[in-house]
This record gives sequence, C-alpha cells and structure tokens, in this order.
Amino acid sequence: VARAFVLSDGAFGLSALKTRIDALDGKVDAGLQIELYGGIADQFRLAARWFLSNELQDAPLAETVLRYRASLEALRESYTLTPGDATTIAALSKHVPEDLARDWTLMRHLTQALDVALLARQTGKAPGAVAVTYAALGSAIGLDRLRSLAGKFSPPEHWDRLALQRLMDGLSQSQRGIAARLLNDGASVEDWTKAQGAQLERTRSFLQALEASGDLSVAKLMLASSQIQNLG
Amino acid sequence: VDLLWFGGIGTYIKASSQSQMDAGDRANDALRINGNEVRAKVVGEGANLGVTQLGRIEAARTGARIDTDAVDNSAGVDTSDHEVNLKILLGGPVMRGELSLEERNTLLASLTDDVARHVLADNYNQTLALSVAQTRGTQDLDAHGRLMRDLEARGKLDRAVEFLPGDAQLKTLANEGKGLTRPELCVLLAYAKLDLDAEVLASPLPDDPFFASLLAGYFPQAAWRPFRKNPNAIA
Repeated sequence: VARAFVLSDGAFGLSALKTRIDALDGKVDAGLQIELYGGIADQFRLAARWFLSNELQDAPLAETVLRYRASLEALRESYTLTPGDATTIAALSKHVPEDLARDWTLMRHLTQALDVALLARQTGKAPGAVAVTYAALGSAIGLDRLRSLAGKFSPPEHWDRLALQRLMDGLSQSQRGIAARLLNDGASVEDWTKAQGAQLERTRSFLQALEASGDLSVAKLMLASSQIQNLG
Repeated sequence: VDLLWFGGIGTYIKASSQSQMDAGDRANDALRINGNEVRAKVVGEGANLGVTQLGRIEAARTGARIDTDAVDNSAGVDTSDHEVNLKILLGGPVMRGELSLEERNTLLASLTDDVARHVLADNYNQTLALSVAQTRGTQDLDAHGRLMRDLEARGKLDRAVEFLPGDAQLKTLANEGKGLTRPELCVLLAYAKLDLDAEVLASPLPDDPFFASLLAGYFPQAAWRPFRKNPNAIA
C-alpha cells in the first residue's frame, strides 16, 4: 500500500499540489484549504487502489512514475473540460490562483491516465495516440459525465462505497477493452460509434435519463454498467 | 478565551465521568475543571499530562479545539530524533577522520535553524493530517473502526487502555452522524504511524533508489553535502 501511495504521489505530483495549497496559508479560508487537501487525500486513495489492482508490486518506482507521468501529460492535452469542471474551476478561482484551481479540478479526471498508461504498454502504442482514442471513447459513450457524477457521490456506508468503486473499476475495464481492440485493429472511434448504432444510442439515452433522475445510487450505477458491458 | 495554554506540571482538566483521584494529581484537585466546562476556543498542551485523555475527548465533544500533549509537544521529540540521526550520519566522516569531534559539534550547532525548520514542517504536516482526518471523520468512521479492530486482532492496540471507542460506541457515533474527536484521532494516528513504520521497514520498499532523495531531504544539506562520496550517496 505504501508503494502504491508513492506511485500515486509521483504520477500525479500530489505533494507538489499540496505545497501550492500550503502557500495559501493566511490568504484563504482554512476550511477551503482543508477541502482542497481532502481532494488530494481522495486522489491518493483512488490512485493507490488502482495501482494495487493493476501494477506489479515490485515495479521500480522511478521508472514506473515516469511512465505514468508521460501518459498523464498526454491525456491532459486531449482532455476536454466538462461544463461541471468549468464551473468548479471558475468558483475556485475566485479564492485561489486559477492554475491551482484547474490542476486540482482536473486531478480526479486525470486518474484515467492510469488506464492510458496501461493500455499504451499492452498495445505498444504511444501514450498520445492511446489517450486520444481512450478520451474519445469516454466522451462518445458518456462515461466521462458518469465518472464526474460518481465522483461527487459518496455513499455513507463503507460497503456501498466499495461496491461503487468496483462498479467504476468495471466501467474503466470495459473502456480499456474496447479501446485496446480499436487500437490493435487500427480502427477509429468514429467508425466504432457508427457500427454500434442503436445499441450505443440506447446506452447514451440510458445514461442521460440516469443523470436527469437526480441523486445517484449504487443500483443505478450497476444498471449503467451492465448497459455499457453490452457494447461490443 | 482564545487559548488555554499549559506550560508546567499538573493535570488541570478531567472528564466529568472521572473522579479527582482518576486525575492522579492531588495538588491541583481544587483547581481542576471538567472537559465540558472548558470555554477556551483552543487548548494547547505545551506540558505533558495537563489534561486527561477522557477530559480531552469531553472538551472536544463540547467544541474546544484540542489535540493531545504528544502532538502539541512533538517538536521536542522530533528535534531529538534529528539530533540522534545527525550524529549517526556524521559518525561516518568522524570515523574516517574527515571531521574532528570538535568540528562535528560546531557543525551540529550551526544546523540549529535548519533543523528547527524541518521539525516545524513535520509538526505542520502532522496537525494538517489530523485536520483532514477530522473533517472526514464521520464519513471515515467505519474505516477508523476497521483500523482499530485490525490493530487489536494483531495485538498492537488495546482500545480500553487508549480510551478509544468500542464497537457499541462506534455504532452510537455512526447513528448520531459523528466521527472520532481530534484527541482520539491523535492516538489512532500514532498507532497507524508505528504500524506503518514497522511494516515498511520490514519490506524491501526503503531500498528502492527512489527514496534516496527522501533520505537526503530529511537532513539539512550542510550536514551531508561536504562528505558525500558520490552524487547518489549521502555521507
């Protein structure tokens, strides 16, 4: 677990981000600082869990950190801000420097860079190309919005939180599976979208309906997950 | 009152559930108050044992901002820790004749401000960790419960001895939407650190070259730069 935390810190530069929040001492409300630190704590848990499930336990730290950092940078370039991200950044920027607001907000979304790095290694493709396909797929299916919603949802029960994490892991696995196939076949996300036709439409409208139905629940996410698993 | 600060010997706050005898300081029986009577916004324990642990928990539940003496006093222990480790580090150059004992002592004295900065940074981060843990205390209550049960199962913690809540009390806290208080988190943090320290030391993790910079970063640069044999090794 300690190794996974070190990898998370290195890949996402979490200690450096923390130092930037430290620099706000006496300039912003301490409650806001604690909230920002809490986001970093969440990111540590999220990324460490990912590393524990997906990375070799004896992987050399420096080399592994560099590999993930490259994918993170690639994904940062191809990631499109959601309207929700933009609102958060704008609200935070009233109190903290804009670049900090942006990096803090993007941090959670960039967790997907971990999937991109893994895919790049599995398919032997450059992280940049993998990031483009992975991100396009996430946006075509509507997974980015679902992730964004799930990120704001924290069930009070530990077991529900665990189930939620498993579901989100499952969604990432599906996204990785489809992306790997497209990358290996040299196919585009656009072609894939056309080929999916009605099935993809059903999934998208299901996710939209779920989004409009108010608060998330583990049950709703389980249904969303099974819809996505049906995509080929 | 903004700050109630303890700087000397004596136990001045206990819990209402405790007798004066429980406080174990007869000389101050006439002065002592209960945790729920503390009207100060912040309690700082510059001295040890100014407050009983149950008194701290009661004061925290009543709204006072209070850690433990071990946390408030940690700079002293941390400074000693740095001193011992600096002496071990400089033992190499002294043994090799690169540094006389007198020169070592002068060097150690010159590092005082640097060590103070390192120690204050540790203090800052430890209380920050507590603030983050406290803010998420309700949400993380079940995780804290599982940590305590795990430590107990491995014979590393006795909740009764440390005045940490048992399973029934944890259920009540959960039903009331409460988490552990800051003084309780202080104790749990200490146990978590001890356990993590033992586990990490027993693993191959510290041998990863990645940590060379972390090790060097622990010491003031002036303590190792002049004596390093190669750029990757310290002293």
